Amino acid sequence: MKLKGFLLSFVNRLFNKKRVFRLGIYGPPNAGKTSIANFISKEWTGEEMGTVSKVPHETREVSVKEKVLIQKDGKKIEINLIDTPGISTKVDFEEFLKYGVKKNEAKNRAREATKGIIEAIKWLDDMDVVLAVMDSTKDPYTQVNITILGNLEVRKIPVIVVANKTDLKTSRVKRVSTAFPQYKVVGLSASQGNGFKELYDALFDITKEVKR
Amino acid sequence: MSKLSIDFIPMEILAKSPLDERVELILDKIKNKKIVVLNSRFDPRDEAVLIKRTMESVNRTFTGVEICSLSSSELMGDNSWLARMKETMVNFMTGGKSGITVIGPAKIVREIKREPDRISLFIK
Repeated sequence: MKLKGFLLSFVNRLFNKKRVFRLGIYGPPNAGKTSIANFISKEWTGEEMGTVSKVPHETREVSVKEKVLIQKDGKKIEINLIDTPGISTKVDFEEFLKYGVKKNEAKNRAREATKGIIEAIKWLDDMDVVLAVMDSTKDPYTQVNITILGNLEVRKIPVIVVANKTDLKTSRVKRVSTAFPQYKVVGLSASQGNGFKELYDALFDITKEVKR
Repeated sequence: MSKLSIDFIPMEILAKSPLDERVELILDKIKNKKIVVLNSRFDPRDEAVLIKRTMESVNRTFTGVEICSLSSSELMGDNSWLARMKETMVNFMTGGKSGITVIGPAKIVREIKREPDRISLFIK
């Protein structure tokens, strides 16, 4: 695998071929991963990627938008944008009933959600860069967030922590950066479209760390 | 009222088994409505495997796990860069991952909350 990576890198450099980065969007359910994926995809390709909902586990399959070309100050990076299901340590169909979902649909949703979580974890190994999305209105120091960041760290995958929902009154981006001081933290509001310029700046910076 | 059972497993014993067996042993206890306490921080890769296996096991009676894993520097209330470096050095020399992990069934445990210097477990 290492040899394959080295040869690929050598050939890319030899022909000055631009690399397509696989950008994964990870986080717990309802952090706003799909809203972020939709905004990025819409801005650069004109198309959204998935549906969003207040009901947890709306995204239950990994979805990929290929060859998204992001431009900034005459520079370009090409990414495959990968939106993943929310990672959780528990899935209870009864939780969905509270949102008015019918029983059979709730059971199906739970079954699909468990498969989606497994799929999201499997995809971790294939990422070049990850956006670890957190809800900035909530305590960020949760086991799921720590597990995601820990797994990226052991795999040496560069990560940007995204503190989403900055448009809400209870949003505290500082709390996120205090909890994870070793990471670049970008505050944004996917629903309002604020903070994406800083995210793209961070993305251009961090892709320099990825081995070609 | 159902009894609450807590199993303490020394990591020294658990570490002798391969990863899959370690995870199965923990998961079996949790499925049997036990709370498991380990005298070690859980490795992120182990935790990812635990989540995968948990999701494969979810059904009507078993809805998953609540888990909290703290390193010793977090337990001491010091999560600074220097404290984490010291801990990494100690772990490297001793081959361990000092800390504590608490895992329980989500049907019984509502939340395991990490406080600056302790873990608080709330039962449903």
